[in-house]
Amino acid sequence: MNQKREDITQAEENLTANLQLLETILYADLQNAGYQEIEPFLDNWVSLYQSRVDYLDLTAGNGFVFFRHGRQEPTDHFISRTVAIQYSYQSSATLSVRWNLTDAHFTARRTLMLLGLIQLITTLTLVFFLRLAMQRKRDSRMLSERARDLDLANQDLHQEMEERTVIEENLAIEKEQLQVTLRSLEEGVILIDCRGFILLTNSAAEEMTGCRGQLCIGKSIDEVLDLVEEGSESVFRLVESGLLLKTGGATKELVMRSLDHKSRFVSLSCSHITNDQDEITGVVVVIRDITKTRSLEQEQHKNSMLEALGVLAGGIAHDFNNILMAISGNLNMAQELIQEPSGDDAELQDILSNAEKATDRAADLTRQLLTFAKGGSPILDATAIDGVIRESADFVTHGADIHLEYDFEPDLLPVLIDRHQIGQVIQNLVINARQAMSTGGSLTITGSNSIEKQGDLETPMVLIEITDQGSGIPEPDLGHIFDPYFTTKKEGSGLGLAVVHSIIARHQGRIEVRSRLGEGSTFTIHLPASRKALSTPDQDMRSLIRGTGRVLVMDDDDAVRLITCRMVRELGFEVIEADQGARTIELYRDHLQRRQTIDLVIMDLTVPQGMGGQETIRQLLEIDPECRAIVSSGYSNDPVMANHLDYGFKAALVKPFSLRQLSRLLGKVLDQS
Amino acid sequence: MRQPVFFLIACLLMIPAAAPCHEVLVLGIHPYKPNNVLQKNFRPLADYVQEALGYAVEIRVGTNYQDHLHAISSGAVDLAFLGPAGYVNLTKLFGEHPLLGKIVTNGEPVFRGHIVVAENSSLTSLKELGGKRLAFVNLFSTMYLVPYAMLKQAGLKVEDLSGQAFLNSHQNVALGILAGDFAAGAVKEEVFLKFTDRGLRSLVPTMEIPEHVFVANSRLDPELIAAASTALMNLKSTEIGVKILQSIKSSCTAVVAAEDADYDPLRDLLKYLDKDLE
Repeated sequence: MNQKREDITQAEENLTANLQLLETILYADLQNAGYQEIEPFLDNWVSLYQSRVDYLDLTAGNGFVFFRHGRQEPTDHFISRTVAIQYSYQSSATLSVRWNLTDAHFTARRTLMLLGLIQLITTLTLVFFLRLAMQRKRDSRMLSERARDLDLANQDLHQEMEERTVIEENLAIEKEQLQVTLRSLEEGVILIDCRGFILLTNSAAEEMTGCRGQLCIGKSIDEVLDLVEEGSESVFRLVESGLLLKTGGATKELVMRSLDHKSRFVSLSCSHITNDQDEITGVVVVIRDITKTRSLEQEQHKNSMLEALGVLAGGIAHDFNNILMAISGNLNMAQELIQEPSGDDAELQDILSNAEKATDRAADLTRQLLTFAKGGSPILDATAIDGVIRESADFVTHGADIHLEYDFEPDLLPVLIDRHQIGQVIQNLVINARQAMSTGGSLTITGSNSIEKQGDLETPMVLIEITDQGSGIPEPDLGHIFDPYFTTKKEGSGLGLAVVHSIIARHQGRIEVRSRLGEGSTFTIHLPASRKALSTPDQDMRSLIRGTGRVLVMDDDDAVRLITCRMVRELGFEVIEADQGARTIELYRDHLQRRQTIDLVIMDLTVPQGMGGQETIRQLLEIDPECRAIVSSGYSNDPVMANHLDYGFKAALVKPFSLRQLSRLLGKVLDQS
Repeated sequence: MRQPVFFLIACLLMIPAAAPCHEVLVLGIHPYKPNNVLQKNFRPLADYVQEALGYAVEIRVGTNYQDHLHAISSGAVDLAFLGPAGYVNLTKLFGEHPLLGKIVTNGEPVFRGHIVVAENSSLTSLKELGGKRLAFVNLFSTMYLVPYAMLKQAGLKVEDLSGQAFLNSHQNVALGILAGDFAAGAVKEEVFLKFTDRGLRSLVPTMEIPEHVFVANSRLDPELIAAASTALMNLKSTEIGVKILQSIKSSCTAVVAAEDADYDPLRDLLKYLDKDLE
């Protein structure tokens, strides 16, 4: 009974499922007017379920039978179902199915059940495998997705690693660049933490502090930097000073002494390192060596002072020279007036001669002072240097406990020199030797000829050696003695040998030094020999050359103008006076207009309050290209004096000058004309 | 040593006999039945033509009537089977095409159709079809165009109907009317006769319509066209040939010569519909 009940239930479920399927298919056919598909479809279905389908009928709403199968009279055991299929608003069809449940059918139930079971098992198996396949597919998809995700993550990781590697490489490059930059800086760089302990230094800082390599790291900066205040020598401690804490950085100039006892002027500046919260995490201390800068500043200051001094000296020397001219000129005139000295006149002449010599020496000193003040190109003349040396050396050793010896070759070649400048050179060297032999000694000056070879070129030279028996010069100083301001003396400008070197260089020569401590020094001057013949000394200076004519004398100094005019008159000339250039031009033009020739103009080069000689000759030559003029100045090295012909003058006359010198020059100029 | 050589020679000699064709001829069929049915029905004919002409014959069924006409005119098909209205439209749209022959059914080269209703329908004349819903096979089929022309002659226009549906087969038209979904429709006579037992009634029969026809692509070689026509008309001469024809249509017994003038009455009737069909 129970078995049958179960069979009926199973059959009902089966029928219901099939009806649903039929309804779906038939609905589609009817709705799409596929009427002709209905019969073959139902026919097939009936064939499939022929053992079960007792009756099947599909009837249109109007009673038209689309399909009918089986007998209308039911059997004893059956179940039936009827389904209405509404396939349009107006149209419907009814599907009726009768499922047979007779014993005859149950006898085949086992087969059906078996078939059903097989179908079920098959279905379940199919479902299982389908689900398994779907699961696997899902799993596979998930695995694929996971694999893909892993792959992507792996790619991302690789990419990140590559990026990190690139970043690290860039950081390493940057670090190396910073290291190279730090190493190449001339400034010392020290990085310290907030407590003042050193974290990093560059090589310049190590050089300055004397603390090298890792020895600095971890030490307090005040332990490494030995700083004192400039001028006060009081110790400066960087951390205690609060300089590190000053915002915006701070700079201070100090003297730093390194651990290896070297001192230097430094400029210290500090900059803060801050984090995102603007907290100071460290300080960068930059040390700039300003020793050279200071030296240059001091040198510039010295130069400025010297320049000012030079200007002052030049001004004084110029005026002094004019005074000397007046003194010397008058003395000279006085001597000339005593033509045949006898008795008291002889003594008077001797006195006058000594006075004139003294003024000559004064003039030499003035000239040196002017040379020092203004420098200038040497006025070169072929000269027997031994005379210049003797004169200069004798002058500075006069009265000193120095035994002076000369040894000159008999045929010593003449040299092309400026007598006054070379004289200064000899004086400076002899003065140094005298100072080196403070307790006395022997000074030997020799002169010899030599040949200097440069390749195939042979240059005849003159060597002058000055050897003393002084204390000698330390070897470390030998390379610096010609440097400006270099001195080992407590007093002294350090310029003497620098001037010597400069003058020799302007003469196309050179100077060398050999020295041994305790034994003395030898200075050797090399000068090129002159190819010109020696300039003949003034001949027959005893006789004055007199002449006739009209001479215009221009000088702003009344005393100089007075003595010059007297000298010119003494020589037989008519004299016209002018105190400055403008007046000279006016007088010259006036005389020219009146056809009164002025045969010669003697004009002072420097006229502080008016037109000097250079401008005056220019204008005179415009008025009269045949104008003859002599320029006069106490400064022989002035470019106008040295190159007077280029400026339009016929000759140059160095003050102070004697009557005879003036006479000779006037004769020379007027004779040339 | 000699035997393999002779065997090879024999094989080579056999090859020409087995070699089917140098090219392929396409036989196009208008879609008056499902594709698989038409493929099956026309395969014997295709094989026959293949053997007769020495060309492989491929059967293609048009997706619709218009597509079929275009395929003929464009040369996509070489030989075509189409209905009489289809032929009239073909000549109207694309000009003359060589006629290979028309089929003969039930001993006649013409067929009829019927405008049918359900047996229990109250309709008795065409005029009463106004306001009714009608079923036809295909817009371009002869069994639409001819009944439609008849309706127009009766004074009805499409707008006078409540609707018209094209059900793609004569059977669907008959069953649709029997199911009560359509008030009337038009089917060919053989279908009508088949469903009379099931309650289908003829409202009005159609005029005699020339039968379905075989045409050729006008670009084909004239000698090939003539050979194809001859082959078709020779079908009736043999039992196998008749069976081939019956495979196409159970009532078909022959293919006879066809003239374009045979379709003039239909052409005249269809001209009546020109404005509506444009």
